[in-house]
Amino acid sequence: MKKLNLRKIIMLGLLLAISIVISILESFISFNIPGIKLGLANCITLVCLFQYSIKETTLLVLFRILLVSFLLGTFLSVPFYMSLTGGVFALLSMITFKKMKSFSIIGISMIGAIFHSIGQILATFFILESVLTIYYLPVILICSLFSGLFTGFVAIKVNQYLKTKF
Amino acid sequence: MKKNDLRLFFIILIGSLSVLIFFQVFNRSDHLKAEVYVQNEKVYQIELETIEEKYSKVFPGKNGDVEIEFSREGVRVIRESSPLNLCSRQGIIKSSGAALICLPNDVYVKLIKVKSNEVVIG
Repeated sequence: MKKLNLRKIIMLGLLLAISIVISILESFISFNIPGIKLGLANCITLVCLFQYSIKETTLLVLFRILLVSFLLGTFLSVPFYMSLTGGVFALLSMITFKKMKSFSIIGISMIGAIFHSIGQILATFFILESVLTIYYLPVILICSLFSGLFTGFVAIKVNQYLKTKF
Repeated sequence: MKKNDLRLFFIILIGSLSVLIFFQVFNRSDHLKAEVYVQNEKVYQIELETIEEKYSKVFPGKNGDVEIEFSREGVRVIRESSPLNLCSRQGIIKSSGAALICLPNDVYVKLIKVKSNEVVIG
């Protein structure tokens, strides 16, 4: 019989709850440029990716996107598709580059932020059917770099804390 | 932090800044035209130079009316209905290539430069 790891279940539940709260709080912070966010929820994805497996991280990201859209009332609307595309792009890129082992957690965080933005821009491109959104890409990429850098540093600190305390 | 992290940071930063500077240099113009698109169809356009006093117009969005204000200084969305109200929070846009994108309403406004001999009908 497969043994249930209670500690792991509790930790994943906590990470999911924290990422949902962060995502909702972030939706109220405006940076005057559409699509720009601090991306702190990605920090939780990073922590999960470095502490647990790909399967658990994928489930965490998908559940977060789904539950946040339910709570914000955006399920199956444009922001939901943008979050889903961005989240899936970020997750796939982080998994791929983590396996390559050429980047540290900060580099993987920046890659995740960059691909999250590229995913969102692509989603917008297909929804609007206009190349106009591509003009935003350089601005969004620069912001992604800094937000990725910030979330990477936060993820390192959280990982260190989890290793010493748990 | 690994060397590759720094390389990635500077490559993306320099690349994005170069593209931004390129857009700014080649899109600089005093004559701007605002174009309003509803469900990917151009429904309104105006050359900002021709505006004497600021005014607003209402366009039908997917979630309700979208009110857009046009002035010599630029264009902004003053009223719309969407979950995050991003396009009304964005404020005024005033440079060529800039855009106001109201995704939930499927309405967007873009500013483009106008050639000196081009006639624009409002």
